Amino acid sequence: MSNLTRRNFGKLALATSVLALTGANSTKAAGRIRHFWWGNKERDKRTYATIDAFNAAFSDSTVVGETLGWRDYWPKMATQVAGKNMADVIQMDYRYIAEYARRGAIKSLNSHLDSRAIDMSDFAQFSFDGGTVDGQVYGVNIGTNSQFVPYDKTLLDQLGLTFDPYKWNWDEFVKISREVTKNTPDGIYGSVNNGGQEVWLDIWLRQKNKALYHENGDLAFDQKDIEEYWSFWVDCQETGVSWPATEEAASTSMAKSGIPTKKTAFDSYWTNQIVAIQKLTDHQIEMATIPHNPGDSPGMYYKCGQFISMSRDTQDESLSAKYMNFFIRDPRAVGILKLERGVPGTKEMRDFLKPGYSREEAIMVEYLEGIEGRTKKLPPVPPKGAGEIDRAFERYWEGVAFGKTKIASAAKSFYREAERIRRKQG
Amino acid sequence: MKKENFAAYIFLLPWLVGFFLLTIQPIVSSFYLSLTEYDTVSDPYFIGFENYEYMFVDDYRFWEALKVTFFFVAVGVPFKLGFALAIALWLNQGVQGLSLYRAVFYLPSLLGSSVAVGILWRQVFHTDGLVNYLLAFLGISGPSWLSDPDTSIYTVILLTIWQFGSPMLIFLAGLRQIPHDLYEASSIDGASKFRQFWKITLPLLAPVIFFNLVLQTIDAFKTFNNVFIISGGNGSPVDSLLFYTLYLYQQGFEFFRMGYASALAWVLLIIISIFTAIYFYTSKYWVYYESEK
Repeated sequence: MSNLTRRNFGKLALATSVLALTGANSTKAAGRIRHFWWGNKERDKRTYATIDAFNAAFSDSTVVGETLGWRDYWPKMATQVAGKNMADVIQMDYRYIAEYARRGAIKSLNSHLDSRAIDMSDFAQFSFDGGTVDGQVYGVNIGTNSQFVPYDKTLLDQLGLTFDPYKWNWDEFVKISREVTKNTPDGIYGSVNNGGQEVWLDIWLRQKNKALYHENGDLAFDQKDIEEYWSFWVDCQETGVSWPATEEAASTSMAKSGIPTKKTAFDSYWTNQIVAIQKLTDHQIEMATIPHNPGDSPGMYYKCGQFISMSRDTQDESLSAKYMNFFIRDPRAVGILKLERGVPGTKEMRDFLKPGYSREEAIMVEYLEGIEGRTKKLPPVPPKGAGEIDRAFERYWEGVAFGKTKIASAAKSFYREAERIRRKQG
Repeated sequence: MKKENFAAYIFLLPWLVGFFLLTIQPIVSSFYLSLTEYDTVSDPYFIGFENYEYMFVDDYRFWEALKVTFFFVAVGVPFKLGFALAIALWLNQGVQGLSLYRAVFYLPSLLGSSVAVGILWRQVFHTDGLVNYLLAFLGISGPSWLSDPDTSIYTVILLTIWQFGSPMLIFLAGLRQIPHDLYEASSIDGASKFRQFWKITLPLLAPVIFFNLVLQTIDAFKTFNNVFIISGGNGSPVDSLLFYTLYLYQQGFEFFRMGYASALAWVLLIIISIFTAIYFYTSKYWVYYESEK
């Protein structure tokens, strides 16, 4: 310690700070990019393996992976946007893509598409529709999804209940669910309760040729629709079609949901999640459309489940584009990622994966092909404040489900609040 | 003299830099942000006191959050302190294996507001959780605890009482400070145990009670981690767990209204300051320090 004089101390301090500065710089050097996504255990494993494959294939560049769960992903992203240190390549959702694009947080990909640095030439039209904002493409579809009803075939077989999974209607849904509740021990019910599920409300409305939002972001439903929707699910809850409100409130994760806990025969998820649901139970799970009346469209639509986008803060645009292209159409990547995020956008990659499908992957693709021609157009991008309206919908439904508020007054309050949220966003 | 000052500042530098950059600067910025509309993507837009106006006039969930939080503070803090004091009194009787008990009782508050505790409680009090499993053995069909809006807040209060360890330790230390001869003298004069507690223990413990009360009240207002986990981050069911900090977080990080969230934070700061001021102001009527005769 004796040779640490004050003069030396200053030098040391200087040296340390220089070190810190260069350290900070090295994370932003060209030839090194960050990929940030939301995920789960399985997805993270596959994505990291894909990154390793990329780094092995192109030794002159490095991709670094960062991941969080859906809930924490967006707050982290918001702080990174504010701090101007977003990752180079980020995962995007349909709900947010327009907002991020219009505020300049993600880059238009048109020049990379034109030069085929990112090759989407054989993607279906809806893939472009989903990722296009004001005429520019901002997101590359990395997995096609749709809505579906998972059902516990083992349980229904035991009870001798059958239905046509592509053509069943609401009455059948109610009748079969009631049978399940009646003929099973206490605590097992026909279905989960979707009264607070915006996704189901969306489909319910679309079956009636309405929607959640207009193109300009205005509400496309009215108070009466909400009343009808909630009346249906209150009936379900009271007449043994669905499980009670306390069970619904307690099912906070997929593992605690109806089918994985073996408490219900019907559940509600997105198609890519069939793989995860089946892993959580030893019963055989199959896929059905959302119930719909004969002659009607089931109301579901193909959704670009997720996108990858290039952020405003990218340090190396061409490397980011190269990585994104690798991610969507290189067998070394797709062979690892498979269908975990949904079905790949290119036929080439679908054919490449086909021989290796697991049972769940096979029925997922079969389902998505089975509903082709009966789907609706992708709804317009949800407007600003849509997330908050979704939360309000859930909250007011809970009030109804627990008998704290009457349907009519809750629907009125919800509608008023939804309008106010929209007005506030301007 | 000057040279020494210089050295001192050099050594203080890391702390000073941290204090100004990580504490003062954010506080000042947050006040400025509270006067703006700020969604983190675009630049903050100055709107004066509109956020505050909206909060008090239009935002019924703000009042809902206040109601939940005040109820939690008003019920949770007295019960927690009372329980901590009772255990401290018991341990102070000269219980065998005191240090073991002390450690065991302190453990929950050491885990404190950790995420693990939140998850643990959610599991234990789940509809199919351990508690209801045990109750079923007794033939009781347990309530839904955390997923029923009528019982959820009480379950959370139970959780906070369970973490009584740190006030208990402070009480225990305070009890040790009370001179033993006071009890001896009063025994000789024929005072009952209850009278001793009322006339000797409580008054002499007043400074410690005051200290615990202030700290626990502030802590209770700031409750976040556990309820964030337990309520799934949104105060559900039916807003029965909409703690103030949770609402603040939701506005800021879920709806991206950083300006409004900052305004909420400032209001919370003012509320906590008012409570603390009231405690300090009234303390002269009920807190006696032995040193002041």
